[in-house]
Amino acid sequence: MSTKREDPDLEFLRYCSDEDLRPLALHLAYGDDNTPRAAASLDTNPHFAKDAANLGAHWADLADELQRFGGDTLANLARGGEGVYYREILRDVGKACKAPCNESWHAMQQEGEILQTIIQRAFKNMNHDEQQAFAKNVSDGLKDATPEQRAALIKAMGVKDLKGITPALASAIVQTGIRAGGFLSYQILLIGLNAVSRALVGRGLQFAANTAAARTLGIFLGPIGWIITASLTVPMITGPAYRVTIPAVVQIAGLRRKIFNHDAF
Amino acid sequence: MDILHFLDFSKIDPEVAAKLASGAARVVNGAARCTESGEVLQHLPFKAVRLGESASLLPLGQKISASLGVASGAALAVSTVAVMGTIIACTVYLARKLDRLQQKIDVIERELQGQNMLFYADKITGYFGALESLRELMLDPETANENADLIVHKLAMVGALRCELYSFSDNLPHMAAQVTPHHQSLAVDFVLETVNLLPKGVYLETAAAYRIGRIRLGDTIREASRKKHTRTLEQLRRWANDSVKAIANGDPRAVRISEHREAIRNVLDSEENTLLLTLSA
Repeated sequence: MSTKREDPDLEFLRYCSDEDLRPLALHLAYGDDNTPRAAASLDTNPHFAKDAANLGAHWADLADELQRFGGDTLANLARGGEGVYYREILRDVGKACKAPCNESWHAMQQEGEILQTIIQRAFKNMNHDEQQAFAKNVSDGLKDATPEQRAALIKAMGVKDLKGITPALASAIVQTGIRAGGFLSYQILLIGLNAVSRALVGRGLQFAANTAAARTLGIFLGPIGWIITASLTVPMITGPAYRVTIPAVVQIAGLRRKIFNHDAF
Repeated sequence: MDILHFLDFSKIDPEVAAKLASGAARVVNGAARCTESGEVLQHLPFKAVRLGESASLLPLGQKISASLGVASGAALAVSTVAVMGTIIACTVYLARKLDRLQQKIDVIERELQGQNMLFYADKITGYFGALESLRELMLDPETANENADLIVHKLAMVGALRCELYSFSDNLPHMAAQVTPHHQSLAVDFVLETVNLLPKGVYLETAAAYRIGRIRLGDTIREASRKKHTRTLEQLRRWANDSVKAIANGDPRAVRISEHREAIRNVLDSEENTLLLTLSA
């Protein structure tokens, strides 16, 4: 199975587990109030159902759906029902978020810039207490990091150690970690999302185990997604469905980093 | 349907079975021997069994072992290896596999003319061709005894080809990246088939050495090959993981291995190959 428009930037989805794909599938099919999205076709897709147990087999349907959400409805019709390449979605989302964009960057790099911008924006929109909570949560999250991860972060940050983390330093750590890529990126992304989640919503991602954290990464598509999308004051225009595509890009960025940082075999 | 004679582990002396379980004894060439001294503790009887149809070697080995009354433990593992080894040596199992491999090589030769993959295909054909002639010589114990000198000669030749093949096999997966995307699936399929077949060849070599009483030679072939195979699997594992990561990174040159995921896992985690490269029977 492949996408209608073969998209090398989304092909990695076929390596994601059912559990990993579920938040993305639900996000694409259902709105915030849990009613089917008017523009969604997944719900009527014979391959897909809300409780589809074998989402991994239908990764291409999810990719197709996202491609369609990324394109203008009329233009999609003109393309015979096909949407746009993920690269185009990234460019649109990057511009909407006012993140640095570069056509020559590969998907992971462009997603990293978008993630950094979103988390930075969320941090700036926090009040003093929320920023303190954010710093504490980043500090707590780093306690679970391996010595190698801490050493890599210290090196990337150019600091002596990771003690006494201030809000500014916490924000810098998350930015640096995401930018660093590699194995640090996924962990730091989870720590960053967790810290934003705790600071703004009062409950965090569960870090009992990486798998648990990965499972709840989907929370970014829920309350966190709404807050951040709102904070971005993106105009709800009829073109690319930012309310769908921005959280979807964040989710895909997280999934991509998970696949990139784990051995499949 | 073939009727084959398998070692009957249900007739093994309980004392010998205990030694087998503790590692104090091992089975070589159909006889339980003291691991230290090589002294024969018991010659195991054979039992005729009608060979059923089964696509896979390991399930067939386990099924026949169970039908022989071998319940569990070390005896079951050795019995399973013995059954698998007998099937490899005495049936068209290997010939069928080689036919399949040869079909792939034919396609590769047709499709990938002038590419490096052809060079590897040539090496693989050489090894398995020599192995087939070794199999013919060792099939009948009397023929093997009469032609021990020929078997030694063949073993030296096959061993050299195997070493050459293993030294190349680390690079085999990377060959897939050098062919056009259109042919990558074919190349990956060929690599997996080859790596999966190598332990069967090693088992035959080992069994041939045992058959003419060259027990240490057989042990050396198996142990050296086990180490090389482990290294080859590690290379294969790394290549497969890197391929997935390259896909995640959106690298357009990444080898698409998704349709081979199950086959890659089967080769990497093959219990049947581990047994064939670990136990003698």
